[in-house]
Amino acid sequence: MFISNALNSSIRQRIAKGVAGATLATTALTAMSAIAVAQADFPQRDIRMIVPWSAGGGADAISRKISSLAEESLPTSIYVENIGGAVTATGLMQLGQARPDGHTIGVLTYDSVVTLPRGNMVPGYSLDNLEPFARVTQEADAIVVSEQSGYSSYEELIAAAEADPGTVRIGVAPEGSGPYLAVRRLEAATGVSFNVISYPGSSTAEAEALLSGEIDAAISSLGDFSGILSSGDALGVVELSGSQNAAYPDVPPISEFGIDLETGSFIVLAAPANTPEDVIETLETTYHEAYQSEEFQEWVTSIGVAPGWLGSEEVNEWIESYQQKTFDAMDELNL
Amino acid sequence: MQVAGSFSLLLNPTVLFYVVAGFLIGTIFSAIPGLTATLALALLLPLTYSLDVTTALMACASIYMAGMCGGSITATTINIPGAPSSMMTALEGYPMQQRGEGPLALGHAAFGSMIGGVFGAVLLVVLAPLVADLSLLVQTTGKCALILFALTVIVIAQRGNVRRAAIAACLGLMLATVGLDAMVPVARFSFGMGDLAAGIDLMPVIIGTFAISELLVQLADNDEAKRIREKLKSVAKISRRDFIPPFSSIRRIGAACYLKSSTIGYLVGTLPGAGGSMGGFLAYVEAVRTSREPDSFGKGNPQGIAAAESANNAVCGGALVPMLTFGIPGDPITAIVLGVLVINGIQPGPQLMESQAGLIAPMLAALIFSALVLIPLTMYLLGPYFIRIVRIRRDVLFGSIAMLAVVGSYVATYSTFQMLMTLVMGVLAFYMRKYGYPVVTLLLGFILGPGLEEYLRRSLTLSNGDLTVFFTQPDSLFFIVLTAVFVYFLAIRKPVQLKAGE
Amino acid sequence: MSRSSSLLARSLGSGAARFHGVLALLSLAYLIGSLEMGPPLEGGKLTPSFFPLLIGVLATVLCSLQWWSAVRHTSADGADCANEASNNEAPTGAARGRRLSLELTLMVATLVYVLAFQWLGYVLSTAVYVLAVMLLFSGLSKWLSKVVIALAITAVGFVLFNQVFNVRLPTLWG
Repeated sequence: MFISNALNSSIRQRIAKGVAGATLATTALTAMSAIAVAQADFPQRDIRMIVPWSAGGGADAISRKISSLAEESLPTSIYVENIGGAVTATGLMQLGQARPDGHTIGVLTYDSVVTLPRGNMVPGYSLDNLEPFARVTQEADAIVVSEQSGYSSYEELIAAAEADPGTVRIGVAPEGSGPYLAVRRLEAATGVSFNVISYPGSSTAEAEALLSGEIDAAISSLGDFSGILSSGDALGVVELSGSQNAAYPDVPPISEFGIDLETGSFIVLAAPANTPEDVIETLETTYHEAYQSEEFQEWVTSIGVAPGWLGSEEVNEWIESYQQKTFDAMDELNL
Repeated sequence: MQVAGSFSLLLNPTVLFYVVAGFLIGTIFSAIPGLTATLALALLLPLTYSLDVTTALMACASIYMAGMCGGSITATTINIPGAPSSMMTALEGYPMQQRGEGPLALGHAAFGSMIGGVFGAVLLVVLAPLVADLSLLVQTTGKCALILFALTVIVIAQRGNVRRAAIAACLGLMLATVGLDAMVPVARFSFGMGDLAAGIDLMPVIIGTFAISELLVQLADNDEAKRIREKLKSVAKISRRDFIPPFSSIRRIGAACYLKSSTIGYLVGTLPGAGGSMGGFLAYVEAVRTSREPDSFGKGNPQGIAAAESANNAVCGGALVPMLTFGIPGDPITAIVLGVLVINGIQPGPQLMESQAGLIAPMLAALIFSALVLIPLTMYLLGPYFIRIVRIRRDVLFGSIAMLAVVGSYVATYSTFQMLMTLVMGVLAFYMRKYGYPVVTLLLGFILGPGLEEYLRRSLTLSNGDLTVFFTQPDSLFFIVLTAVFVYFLAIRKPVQLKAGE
Repeated sequence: MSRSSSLLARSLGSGAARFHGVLALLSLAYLIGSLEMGPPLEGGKLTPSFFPLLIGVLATVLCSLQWWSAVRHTSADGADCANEASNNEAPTGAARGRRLSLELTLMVATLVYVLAFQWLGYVLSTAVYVLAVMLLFSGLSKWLSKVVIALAITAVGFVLFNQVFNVRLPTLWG
């Protein structure tokens, strides 16, 4: 049964060439056909999904949710392994080294696309080893202010930073991250200067600092601060995007203030480089179906994240231009 | 807190199974001399990856509770504390055993553990909202001073061995700096290796320092351990009826003794680096000091057992306070529980008790449940068999532990490199133990290091580089004064001396 | 032990002193590494090298002190101080040598196991490793029953990880 499948595939010619005599050892043929079948009948085994950060948190939840929906239309299941470390490099290096047969896939985010290639910090990490096939979500960052700061709008925040440079304390993720770049770009665009405080790890620490009044403002996604926003301890003043977020009608986009500063995080799915095209296609359609399902759309909106699909055709181009745009902005600021 | 409501979770058979299984494993591990509940937890930690967080935390709580009382079994029967927290129990329990009152001693140990465990856990629950409010007052600068305080106390708590403890803490801090810097995108000490740039995972450090080093130590002590096994064979069979301590004897010990010892235990627990053995020791000393007949101690006075055992179990409740509110573990078990939280992406902090009450409350419920129900039940039902369980074949035991340790480190990281790190840490910890370095201090240094560095750097950014901020901010000033007080009393004045080596 | 290491032993004193010395050298290497990372302060802010420098200095000083006091101790009262830190040091030299080799064997066995784990798969490598650990603990007698027990432990581990906790272990067959 394996042989007929094998002959149907593109491997056929290679087998014909390699195996000159028709009666050559059948064992070799079986071994070859096993590979061939892997490509023809994908998936053969359960698919391993590497999420390159530790479990918990929004991005992990999105990856798990869409994978659990995607596996419904597959004969096998998709299981998630959280391999955290080195701002996603550890897990993605494992993905890059995995057999490129589609049975190992992974998730990329801002750090994987911008921070790591830019800093060149982890030897052996390269985007060239990966084959992105879809972008699932995109989430804009926003500026929120602490209730104790006394500011109630974006203009007040900027005015205060202008009046007394370096005294308004704004909490962001560490150097190299999207929010850090955003605050530097904001400083350049408005001509003010903040006291920029780094909070590594999750945005929980920033939420706590807003609550205790240690910082006046912070930059991260509105979803990250949903707890203290709804309790009134913090206020979203502006979203760093070009269009109004429907989930937060009170938070204007920064384009309304005449500033072009779009930044945020996203989730991209990828397979190892050199994964056969038909396998990529299967993966893409499977995930696209899951993405389009009502359940996913409703769920993702409910956690305040904007769905934003890009297929395998567009996603590579998008990543490249995103990377280029961000690197240019970094070059301009000497970061 | 929803602790009361969380007890209903225990009606779920799966949850109950994990809680009871955790308790039994914890008891058995702490009963076997040399093995501890910490080791049990370190071995089971990789499994919590695929377990529901709530269940995992509940199982941790019951292992913790079990670890504080299981050691009394061998402490009483053969005068070898199965776990360090039971060393005071051996002082009174073994003379009672020689008088033929061994089961009674165990019964007193169980009763004291139950009282202390419940007391500590209830105090934790009752005080949680207050602690959460207070902890919000501690900002970055204060947290930096708090970790400095914790590390200082952890080091000077190793009396007579302070220099080695300081070295161990430094080694932990050094290991923690390997990998990407948290604030600036550069790799440190990675020597051009991608694997090292990712840093050393917490799991290899825990499994290495506890499991692998224990294997090596046990192999080195193989002959001695065989003698202990022989000794256990001669222990007379224990009858179940003798376990229940008579009411008159409990009354003679007095409610005041239980209450005082539990309070001491709880307070000692909140201090970093102290742990069950220190709690038991201080409560025992206090019981002797206030007793009307101090001469009867050391000759089989059940009051000593009651004081030590209720204190070391009350430590559990206290030790969870700094771990849950600041992410600062004071002993290895809370360090591993912190690992469970971190693995599941839960950040300890003042908000934890409120925002994640659904997660933490069941754990506290499990803590109370294991103290109130499982301690007496286990002692009563399984007490007669424990001596036989403790005599398990060593090759089978350590073969299984070796398997769990190495496979566990794979499951936790899926990386051959981190498995190698486990081995490296194990060998390092083995030699450290051999030459008298406290390895727990290394682990705590490793865990506290990143926080200390992050808070230090952020404090100075917040103050625009002004060092005096540590003395002008009330929260950090408080901890700096506290550190000075502890250094004065523990290191300079040197009051009570812990009997070294026991 | 080779001649060079016994020379080293004489000059460095007891095993304890040697270990302290190794730690001191490691701390020194760490300190040098952090010095190479650049200045500890830049523009009024602490750089990534500040904290490593601080601990590096502390560790190097403490380890050197520890080493020095151990060496002095050795030269003062001979070989006694081998027992200074641990009371489980072996009574006789012969037993100590044998025991050391047991521990080293366990270390090497674990190393081989770790390296072979993904390549050989769980079942084969684990069975051999568990058997090796068992033999180290209880000697070669009744080896057949130990083989059976090792296989049983391997099977229990497989069921525990693979079936109960849904972890995928590496297998020889794919």
